[in-house]
Amino acid sequence: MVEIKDYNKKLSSRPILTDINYTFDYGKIYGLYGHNGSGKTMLLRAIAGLIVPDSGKIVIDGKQLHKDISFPPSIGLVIENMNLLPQYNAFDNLKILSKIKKVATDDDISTAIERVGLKSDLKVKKFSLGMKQRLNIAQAVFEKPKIILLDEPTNALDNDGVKLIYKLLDEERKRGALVIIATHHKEDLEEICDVVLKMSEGGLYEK
Amino acid sequence: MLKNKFVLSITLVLSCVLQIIGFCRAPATYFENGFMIGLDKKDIGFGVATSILPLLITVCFILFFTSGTVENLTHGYGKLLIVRDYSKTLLILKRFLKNCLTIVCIVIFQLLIFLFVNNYLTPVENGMLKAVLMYFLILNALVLMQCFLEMYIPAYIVNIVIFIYCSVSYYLVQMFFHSTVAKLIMFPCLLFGMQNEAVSADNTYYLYLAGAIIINLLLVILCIRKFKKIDIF
Repeated sequence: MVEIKDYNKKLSSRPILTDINYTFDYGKIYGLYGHNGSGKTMLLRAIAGLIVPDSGKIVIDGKQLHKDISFPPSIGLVIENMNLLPQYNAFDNLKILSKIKKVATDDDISTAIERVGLKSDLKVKKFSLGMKQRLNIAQAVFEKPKIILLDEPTNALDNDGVKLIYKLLDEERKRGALVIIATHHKEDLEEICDVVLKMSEGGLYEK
Repeated sequence: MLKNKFVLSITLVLSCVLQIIGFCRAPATYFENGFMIGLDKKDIGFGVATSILPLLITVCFILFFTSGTVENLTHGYGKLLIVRDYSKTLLILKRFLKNCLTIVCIVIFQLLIFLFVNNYLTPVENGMLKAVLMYFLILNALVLMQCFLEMYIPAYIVNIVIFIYCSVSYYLVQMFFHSTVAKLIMFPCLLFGMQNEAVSADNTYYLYLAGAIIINLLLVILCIRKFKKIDIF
């Protein structure tokens, strides 16, 4: 599980995450909703280990982030400005990333690309915005991570794309993954999430 | 991104050619020894300041070329690697190596152009290798400095800051060419130090060479230390 304890973070002396205390369990989908600037994306960054807290801690499976481990050992992440390499095709992009952890096979890569409804051999520079988003989601799940963090995953997707991604996330839940989705569309979350949480001015509240 | 790199490469090549044309047309006393040599120590005053521009124009385009190295790691594709626990130290060192190789290619290209138009420019009688080595080390230090500053301020502002630093350093060193400390503080002046005595005297050259190497190492260490602690967005 992922435990967040008394987490505080300021940016340029402006509080962006304030006294966050929450425990996320595996095998569930959590939804975070709130206005722009409420701290949703920042909370995902915090869980991913990308930002260092001013105080408090995040404990993942008993190990403290930034103390025992630098990053969660098994994580998939979709967050803004994660443009994949345009000169490579979808398969090669994921293949490059797979060389870091070496946990995904070529079959895993192909399967993940098929699951999001894309073809492996098309270069990313020819992708539409929606296709790039799908590939980003494939990038987040192809290594079968225990934690999947998705920031506005349905942005730029058409209705069919949204249904496909929801189906994929449901499968990930059944596999036992912890999925956290951040969006400002509350109605999107109620359809798929087990728990919906509200973020406001850096605070996290149960609905 | 690729298109941008292509456009930047073209502008960089053009800047090198323009620089050489500028040298050929300038009064011989200023630029007779080519791009890495610089102004004579007797050439001081605001009039000379305008002559600095042809020397620095390529530096300016090199900074454009390497701009965004760290920003791409902290705000772009780098996130995908970092979140997979790819060593931050290795990641930034690889980028430094890539930048370093880019600078090697640029310096070789500038040198080839310089040798090509050798009929018009007086060849460096001695110290060509010394000048090239110092030119390369200082360019590399400026790019490392650019990377370091990008961890604090936006890339486009960093370019302006470094260019101003280069211009001011090169202008001021004409007045302080006997001060070793001043030259090391204003290290961009060592880029073109063969005529202003920044690196021309044999007995002090190795002192400045050691200084340039230390500045490079120091910037690498500072960059790694900061990059390990920096928030990734």
